[in-house]
Amino acid sequence: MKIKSFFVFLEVFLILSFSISTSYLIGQSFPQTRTDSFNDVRWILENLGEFLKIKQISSVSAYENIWKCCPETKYGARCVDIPESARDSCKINLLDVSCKESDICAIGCCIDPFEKTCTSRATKQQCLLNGGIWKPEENCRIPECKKGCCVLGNDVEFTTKQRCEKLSEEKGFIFDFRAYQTEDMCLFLKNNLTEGACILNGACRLETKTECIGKNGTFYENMLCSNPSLNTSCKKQAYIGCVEGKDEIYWFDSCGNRENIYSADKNLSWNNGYLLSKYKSCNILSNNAGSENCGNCDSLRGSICSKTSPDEKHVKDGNYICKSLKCIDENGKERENGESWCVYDGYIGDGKDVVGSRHWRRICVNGHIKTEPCADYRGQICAQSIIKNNQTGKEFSQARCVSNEAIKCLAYNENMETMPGKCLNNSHCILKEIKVSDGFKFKLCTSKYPRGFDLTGKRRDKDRGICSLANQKCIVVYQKKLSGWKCIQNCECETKKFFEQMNDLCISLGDCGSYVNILGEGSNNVVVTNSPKGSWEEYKKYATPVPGQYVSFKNLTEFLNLYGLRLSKPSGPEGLPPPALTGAIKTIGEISGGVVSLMAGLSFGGEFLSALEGGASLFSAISKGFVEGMNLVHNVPAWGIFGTTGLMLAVASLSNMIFKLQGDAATVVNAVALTLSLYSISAGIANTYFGASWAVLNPFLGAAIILAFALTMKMLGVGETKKIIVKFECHPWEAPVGGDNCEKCNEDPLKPCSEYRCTSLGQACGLINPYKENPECKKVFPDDGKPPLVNFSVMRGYLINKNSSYEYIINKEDGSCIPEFTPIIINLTTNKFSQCKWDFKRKENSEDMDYYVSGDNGFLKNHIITLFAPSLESVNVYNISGNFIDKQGRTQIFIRCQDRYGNYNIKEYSLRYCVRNGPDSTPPILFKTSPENNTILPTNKEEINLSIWLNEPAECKFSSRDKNYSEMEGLMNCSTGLEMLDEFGWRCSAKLSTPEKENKFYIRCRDKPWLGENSTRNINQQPFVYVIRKTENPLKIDYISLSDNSTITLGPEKEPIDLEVRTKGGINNGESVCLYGFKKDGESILMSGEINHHARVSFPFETKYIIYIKCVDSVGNIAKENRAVHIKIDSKPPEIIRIFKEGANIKFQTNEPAKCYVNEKYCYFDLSKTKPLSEFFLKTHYIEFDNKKTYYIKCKDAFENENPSCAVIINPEELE
Amino acid sequence: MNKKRGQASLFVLGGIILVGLIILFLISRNIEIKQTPKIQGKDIHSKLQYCIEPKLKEIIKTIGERGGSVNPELYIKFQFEEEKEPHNISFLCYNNLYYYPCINQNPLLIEHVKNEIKKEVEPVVRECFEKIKEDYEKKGYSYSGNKNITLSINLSEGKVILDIKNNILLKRENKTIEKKEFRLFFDDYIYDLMILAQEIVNQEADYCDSYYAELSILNPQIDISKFRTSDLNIIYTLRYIKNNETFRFAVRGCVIPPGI
Repeated sequence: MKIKSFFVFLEVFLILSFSISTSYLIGQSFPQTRTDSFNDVRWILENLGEFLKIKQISSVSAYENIWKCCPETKYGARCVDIPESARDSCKINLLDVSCKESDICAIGCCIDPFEKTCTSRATKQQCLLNGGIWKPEENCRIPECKKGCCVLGNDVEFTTKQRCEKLSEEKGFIFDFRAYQTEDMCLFLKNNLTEGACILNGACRLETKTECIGKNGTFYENMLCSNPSLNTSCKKQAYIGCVEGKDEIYWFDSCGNRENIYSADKNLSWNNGYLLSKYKSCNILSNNAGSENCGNCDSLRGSICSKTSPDEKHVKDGNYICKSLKCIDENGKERENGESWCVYDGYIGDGKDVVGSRHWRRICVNGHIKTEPCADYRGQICAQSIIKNNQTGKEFSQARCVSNEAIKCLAYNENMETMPGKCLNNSHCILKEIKVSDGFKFKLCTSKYPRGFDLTGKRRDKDRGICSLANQKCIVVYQKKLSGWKCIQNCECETKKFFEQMNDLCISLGDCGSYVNILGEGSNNVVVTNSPKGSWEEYKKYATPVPGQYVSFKNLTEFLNLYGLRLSKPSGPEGLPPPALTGAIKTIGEISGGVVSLMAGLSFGGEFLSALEGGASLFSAISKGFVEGMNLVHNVPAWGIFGTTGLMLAVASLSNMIFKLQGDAATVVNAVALTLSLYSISAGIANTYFGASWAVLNPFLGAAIILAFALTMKMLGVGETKKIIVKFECHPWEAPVGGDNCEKCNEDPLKPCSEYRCTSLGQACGLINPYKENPECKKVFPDDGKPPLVNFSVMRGYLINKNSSYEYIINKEDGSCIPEFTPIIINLTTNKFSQCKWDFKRKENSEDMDYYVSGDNGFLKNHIITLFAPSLESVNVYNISGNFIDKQGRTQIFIRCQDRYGNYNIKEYSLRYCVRNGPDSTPPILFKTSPENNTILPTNKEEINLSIWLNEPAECKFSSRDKNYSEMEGLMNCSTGLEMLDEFGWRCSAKLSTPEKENKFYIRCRDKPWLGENSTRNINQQPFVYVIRKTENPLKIDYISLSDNSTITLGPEKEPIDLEVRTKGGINNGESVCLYGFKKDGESILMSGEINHHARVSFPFETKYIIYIKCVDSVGNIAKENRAVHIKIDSKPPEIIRIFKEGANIKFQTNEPAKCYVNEKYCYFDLSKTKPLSEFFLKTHYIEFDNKKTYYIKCKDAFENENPSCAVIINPEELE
Repeated sequence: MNKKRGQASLFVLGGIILVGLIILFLISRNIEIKQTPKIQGKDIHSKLQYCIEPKLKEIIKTIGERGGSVNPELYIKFQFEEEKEPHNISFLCYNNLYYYPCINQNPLLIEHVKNEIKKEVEPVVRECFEKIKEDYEKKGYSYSGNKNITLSINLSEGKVILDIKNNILLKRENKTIEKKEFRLFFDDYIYDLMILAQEIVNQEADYCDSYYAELSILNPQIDISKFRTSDLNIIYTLRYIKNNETFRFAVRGCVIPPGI
């Protein structure tokens, strides 16, 4: 399978598995993404349709997308896969299988029996219907389609042997086909054919040797027809002209025969009547463009023979000149014929390609510059390499549009262990390291050239999902010191550094974040809470291309890496970044882990003390020193002093624990304890040595002092901590409002406008006449100068009343306040496409408002506001900053909407509502679980990480039996802080053991965690029953068509090999998706089929390969196998190794089994028209011994490797 | 008196002659308008050649502009700068799915085009034979033929070859002309363009890309351009530089959608 096809399959599969895995890891806000295990292949299969859209046929929901083959659609396409739900678009009945698995739509090679051409990827049906010959090799890598050099007179064509026969017959030439050649060899051959004068029936023509001999003419090698020795009537150098198929200007004799390349020095050209090769003709090192004296033009150097008018410059002896084929590029630089280079719209790489930008390839073709745009939305990027001639200093550039592997970069994040290596090894990827602070750091693999989004909003949900990968929270911890609140953890998250790094990540995911378009105009599309924000204006510079910046082609190492191969000296970065340290941030989901461990350390005075610098040594020195000292002194029992010290510190520890003192408070108490301990020690010594009994500290008094200090610290609140959640939300990029720049898209004829480019220039811009060569970008939305009109409606059970033009009040239907912890859905509709924002505070303008309605910054007509208010009592418990709720329990939010032209309502709309006052008497409600209830797991899964989300902060427990809450054994880890609300609610998680085939768990939750063991807390009367099942039978690979350690010999075409795999077991009798690759856990290629899997595997090199096969079923059962295969490539024709006379025969032997053929005239004979010496492929061959004959022998092997000329010419006389 | 009668007679005669001339003039103009133009060519063969050629060129031009079919089934409607209106351009290679390489929709393109030409040119050939018949009958020949006309088309480099079978027998006085077969050659480069088009289609199917620029350099007599439409299709235009003859077709494969 060609590499591009390999990427195609890989991209599709990896997109899907990535989407699930990343959402699992990050727990991001895309509402449609299931946060199940990334092994949920059923989700992959069900959502395959989302990624495989049909043009002209609308897609349907994931569950209905079962794809079947349509042999012919109503719109004329043949053999296309369409969803079953779209069967009406098929002209005839859908087949039961996909096209790939069907017979009539099987894809292969179609040979045209009339024209003898080969067509790749033709369906069997179409081929046979039109009288073609169909073979199952889809890329035509079969002997019949193998190309070589076909000599047709003085022209050479790179074509198949069969076509060569046809053309030779049509044009009246002798069949002369040279196998095992490449296109450039044919070019070379064209210039080096053996030619000469061919005299036949008194007339002379310049022809090739083969041609002349074939006509039974007399051939004079290298002689011109005008050579006097031939005595022809042809007079030399009669006129000059061009020759079709040749670059140069030639002399012609009076008979019209071509002579040598023109030179003003006639004698040089004449060469005494002999042919003069191009390489010995005038000025071979130059292309002679514009030369009056030399006609040695060369298209590969940039010139070609061209007729001129008499008043134009021409060579001395006629109206012809070598015309230059070079070009002058947009920068005034001279470009050679065939040279290509990349042009960009702005800065490229580092995840900074600007919105609307595209890569362009320019080529100099025969004196004209052609512009080829790479695929839009940066689906392709332009890669370039520059070859420099060290002697002349001249450069030659080669560029191509290549697939952008952005998707793969994101897919690598599926496995965070292998991600850094894979990311660094892919030149299209960049390893983004976010390190704002010690507790907020992580790595993510993103694309150097992020993909562009459809800015019209057609794929909005997917785009939001991608951008939301950069949604993160940083928990900043403050502690109350004696001098006030001080930041102690993740403080840098409250600096601009947070925005800079996170926005950098955001824009590298795609068209996301605060960024600019190709004109350097932009918009802000991030929400940053509790931290300074930046602006798109800081990125204007990226709209200007950087001279000399270009994408390089992938190197050989990267290519080899795909096959698990290495160069003998490994190149590239040595070693990988060290694995994440224990306690350090390994995955994005563990960002808060560092904070938790530190806070845990603060809670216990003893541990804190030991962590205190020098504390431990101080402690041991004190006890050890004094014990020793006392022993020296005598009569003072060491344990006593030790005991006092120990008591003080023990009391200190206990106080800290009881009062939950941390930080400064704990320090103070411990310090007091230590001071008292030291005092008691020294007092004890004073008493012992100096009789100062008054100095001895009563240990109980000491303890009382310590306790008093602890209480004081508690009342002052010293040592308490609070958290500030710094949030970053990354949204899809929206074009700036207005349409003043639309027409700028039409300005550059070398960069035609497209929908992507146009819509990036302004909200009001649209492409008109997309079905014309030069579509125009114009303002397509009218500007009425008015802000959008907004209408509100609320869900059933609630009322929304208009208090004034802009003020609305929401209550329950009975007029009471809305209940706590209950989501209220409000629909906001506008009369035109609008972007709506809201805030708790009144703000001057729309731009200053903090939040997007629906969490969506898009220009829509329908928006959703979800009101979700906590209870008043919970708010009062937590020290929530901001104006979240006022003491009366009433709150309001302010809304503004702007249209595409930036017209927004100056007076804000306000929604007022009140939250029910009074005790919360409802137990927690479970919103969501992950994995979902009744999920089926793989056979070998022994435990799962369960997450549940509740409508309010709560504590939850679980058990395998239905018990009262207090008796349940399992305690879940819950986010009980009011501010710890995430996208789905308040989260609790636990590890559940799943040893059985069916595992049942009972979950109960208790709200109001701030009340401790208070009986007013509400507990679920009915438990939530959570069931997890496992597959009965493991998935197994039952059969693989390749044997382990087998050796396979391929022909020179390296025809792919069929790999068949059969699976059984798992969730559904072996139904699974299988992939194969050449590296363990490396790049993989999808196989077709569900139980019987198939792939055509290509092996580019002769070496040993290990094929890793992995099959996964819809619940994540995995089966793996691998096979070692030794590949040999036989690309050489047979050689004759021995010839001798044996009786009446000549016997000769070949180095491999072959079929050999004999001709008695010459070497260039057609094997297909000659009978072989044997029917089978043998190593020993015989021909009749006849010393009057000369035998021209050609052989070919089973792979159709044929001797291009003779394998040997046998002269029997020499054997006697 | 006689003199006066003579004058009167002269006037009357003059008037009659004048009127007669006027009538004759008018009649002769009408006759000229109704007369069918003469078919050029000295013999049937050349007459046929002259008659068929303009229409054939038009048919080939249409087929070339539309990717090998007069009425393409699977097409994209598009208008290039030099065109007055949009045309339906046939997809020679197509895949509706994103990321997948295209599937060749017309593997035997040249055969297909031959059939298309044949289908369109057959009525032209018949019409031309009818005109030839009229022409010869006007010259006093008796003409028999035009009953079982068979036609076959062959395409080769720089040529379109029509092989026509029609048993014609012309007789006039002692002269008899019999013709059964006609082989007509027309200069045309559609074959050359299609061979290159097939190569491009193969490359698109195999590699999701084509070396069209390199092919253009290797075939300097043909200019090849590649155009990407806004809806992610590709249109190739192959133009024979010498006579501006064009072959244009569309490809849809390995389409990379926006975003992920």
